Amino acid sequence: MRCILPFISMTTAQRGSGVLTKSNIPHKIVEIESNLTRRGCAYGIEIAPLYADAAERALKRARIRYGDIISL
Amino acid sequence: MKKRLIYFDNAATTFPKPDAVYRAADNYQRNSCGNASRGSHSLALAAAEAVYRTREELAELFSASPESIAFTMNTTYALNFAIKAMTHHGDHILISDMEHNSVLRPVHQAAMRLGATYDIFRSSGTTEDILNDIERKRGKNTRLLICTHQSNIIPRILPIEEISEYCREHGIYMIADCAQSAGSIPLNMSRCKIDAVCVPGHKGLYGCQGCGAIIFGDVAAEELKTTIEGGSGSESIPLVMPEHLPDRFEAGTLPSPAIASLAYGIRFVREKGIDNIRAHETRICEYIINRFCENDDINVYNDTPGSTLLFNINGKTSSEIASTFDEFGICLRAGLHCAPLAHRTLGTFPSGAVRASFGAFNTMSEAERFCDAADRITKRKTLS
Repeated sequence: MRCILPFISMTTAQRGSGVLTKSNIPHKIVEIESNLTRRGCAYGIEIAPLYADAAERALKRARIRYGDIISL
Repeated sequence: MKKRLIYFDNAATTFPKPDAVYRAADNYQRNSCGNASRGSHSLALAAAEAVYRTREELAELFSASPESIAFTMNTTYALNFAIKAMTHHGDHILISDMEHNSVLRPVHQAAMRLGATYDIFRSSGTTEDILNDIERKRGKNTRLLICTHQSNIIPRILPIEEISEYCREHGIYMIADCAQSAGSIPLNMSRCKIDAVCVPGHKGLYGCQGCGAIIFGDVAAEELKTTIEGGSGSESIPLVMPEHLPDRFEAGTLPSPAIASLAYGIRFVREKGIDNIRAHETRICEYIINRFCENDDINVYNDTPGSTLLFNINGKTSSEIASTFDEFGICLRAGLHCAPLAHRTLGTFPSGAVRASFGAFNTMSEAERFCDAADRITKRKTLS
């Protein structure tokens, strides 16, 4: 199983990626399939479910907004 | 033997660039040239990373967030995007008397197309004089003020932080044209109330030609009108551009090689120190002004030494002067410098003047050679 944290833009996903790197959370930036979003192309950060809570905490601390986690 | 060129046209574009900038542009095109924010394969992500690195460098330099930075082709595009985003039908606009055509022309177009009106406020005197003049010119429908941070023909600096406070108090959007000041005068976006700062990559930030940026302040992006619409790499279903920054103002493929190499230009500036670069340019200018003051045939128009020097030589047109200096291997810019309004303000319109503009790579010995050439040119004129 994989989790994807969706972001409003590639730039915000990249900022989020920087925060997760500093927090030693393994992740990668991915393009989200457009049928999973209501507005078309989008980017997200894929993480293992094990890291989901830590990732959310780190992003919230950095005040980086993201959408509802997509589980695949 | 070929004469070593003296490049004193750094206000048009800085030259040379730091070696790291040339290497980065080359490396990007050979190894990372996917399309940034267009897919997630390895080359697209490498491109996006390179672009983001520059966003971070710019964000750090201006104390802004990476998302607030929208890349454009140059400062003129940035100013056009910002001005058109913030101008509405019937608005009154204020601009300073030192504006470049990259401000004057879009404002004039807004007047023609949107029935906007505009007035010009003074840039000379104390901050209080300037703010008083803005207050005198402000109308009840004044919605936008655009102001150069530093003129492109003389090193006159406007108090944009104080002007931004005034604008915020009166509900006026403010745009700063930082074409000449970016990399030369520090600006902290978190401390001022400017809504959009427009910068070039290829001048004081020492990047390649081909990119500029708008650094947005605390604005509601969704209220800003777009000028160019198209693919944004995100939110592709709606018929309008995304509401969020930077995608709202980044339609189409970015000039990524220029953007990627700009990171290394900004690093160069930060390593050298903005204040050190400015002090170096000012010392060169000061030396030249002192030498020119000894020559009765040369008129200098600067209020103060800085990164640019504006002058004329009695009995010669500005293009004759620049082309004579070119024979000595010295690159200068003559005429109105795309700033007829500023030349009117200084009393050098319509004939214009000659501009020498300095950069981090110029040396005092070049300044000496320049002054020696000026002495020879003025003596030649006296003899002829």
